[in-house]
Amino acid sequence: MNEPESPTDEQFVRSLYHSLEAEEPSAKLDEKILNTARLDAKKRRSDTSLAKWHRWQWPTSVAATLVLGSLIYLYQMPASPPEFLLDDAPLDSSSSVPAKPGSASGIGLQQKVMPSDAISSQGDTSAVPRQQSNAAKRLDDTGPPQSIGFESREKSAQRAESVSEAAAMESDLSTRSAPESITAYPARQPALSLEEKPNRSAGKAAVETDLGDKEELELPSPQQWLDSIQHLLDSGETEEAQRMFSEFRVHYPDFPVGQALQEALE
Amino acid sequence: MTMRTLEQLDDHDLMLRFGEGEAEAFELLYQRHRRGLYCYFLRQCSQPMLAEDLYQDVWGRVIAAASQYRPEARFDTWLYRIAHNRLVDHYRRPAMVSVGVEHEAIAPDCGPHDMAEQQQQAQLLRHCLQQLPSPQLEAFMLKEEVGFNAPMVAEVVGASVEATKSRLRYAYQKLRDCVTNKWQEVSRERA
Repeated sequence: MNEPESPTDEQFVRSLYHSLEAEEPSAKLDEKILNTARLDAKKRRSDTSLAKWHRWQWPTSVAATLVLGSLIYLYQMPASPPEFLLDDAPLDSSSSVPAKPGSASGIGLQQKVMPSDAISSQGDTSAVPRQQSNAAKRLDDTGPPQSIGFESREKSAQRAESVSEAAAMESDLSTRSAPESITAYPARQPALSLEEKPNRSAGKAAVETDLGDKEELELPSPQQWLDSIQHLLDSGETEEAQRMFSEFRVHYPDFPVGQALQEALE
Repeated sequence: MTMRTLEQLDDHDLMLRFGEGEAEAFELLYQRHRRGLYCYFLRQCSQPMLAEDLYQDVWGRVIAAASQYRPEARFDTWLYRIAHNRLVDHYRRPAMVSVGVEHEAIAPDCGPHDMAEQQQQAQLLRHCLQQLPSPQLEAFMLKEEVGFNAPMVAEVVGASVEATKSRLRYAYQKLRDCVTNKWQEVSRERA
């Protein structure tokens, strides 16, 4: 075979071959194949999106769980006072002057003074401790349990003012009269509660001021006192019970005492 | 992505797009290769129905393999490698293609008096193609119909480049001789 003939053969055959009528697959066959491809592509698209979701399923679930857990922890976390309230609050431990209600100097003082103002005219001795306790409780409830660390002192003062107003309204509703000597003791319960929970919105200044009245605050409640007297009577120590009762009357002259107890003391 | 942008992509990228679920990419790919692949089968099978079956089967394999497709070789060599294997699987062993229906269609006594000379010779070539041995015919089809060069043909059919060149050379020579001889026969009969 001679090499120069090959290109000639190739050109001759090529020209003939390309002059042949082009043969193509039928349109029906084309459509059949293309439909198969479309279905396959559609299936693959859905598989791909599903695979993407499966790939991110665990990380997403873990992240969502962590966020949810963190939120629950933050909401359940015990409230603590803001640092600036503890460090920067004006401390005046020698001051025995009660703060004006609504002032920002401390809620403890307001708690101590406010009820006496409200009760001195028309309060009831038996009702006052409960009212004070309620007021203190409301103070705790309305206090900023979650956001206390971010609250300004002005907001704390406003809240304290609203609490004192609420307590005053409760006192106004009382129908019994309060003796003048009651002005000293109603603050004991809230003051104690504030002492137990110094971190609540009271502020450090109020707590410091309350420390000066600690002796006074250590008096038992009337009911505790009466329970002790009853216990003495039950154990046969009548003289001691009478002595304690007279002392009780010094502090709580108008506190109602049961008929049976009075007869037992007499 | 618009069709115009798809047209700028090569076969690799179209196949990858189709593997990601873009049916339009396959449509374009199909349009590029449908005629060549169909002729590849049609010239080597005497029955058009069989050629269509094989043609459809190859495209089905391409579709199925799209998600695992990796551009390690040219797409067209990969496609015709599938087609070659499918053809080998069908015949078990590449054999001489017998003269079939198309032979009768181009018989000299069909009356090609009105046809141009080249057109008549082209019809003779069609007849001569069916007389080529399968390896030579396959190499010829891949070169002329698909546009492969000798190394690419060798890659598809799994032969050496030298053997492929030899097959091509023999194929062209035989075809020319066949057409020339038949044309002389037709001329003699006409005279």
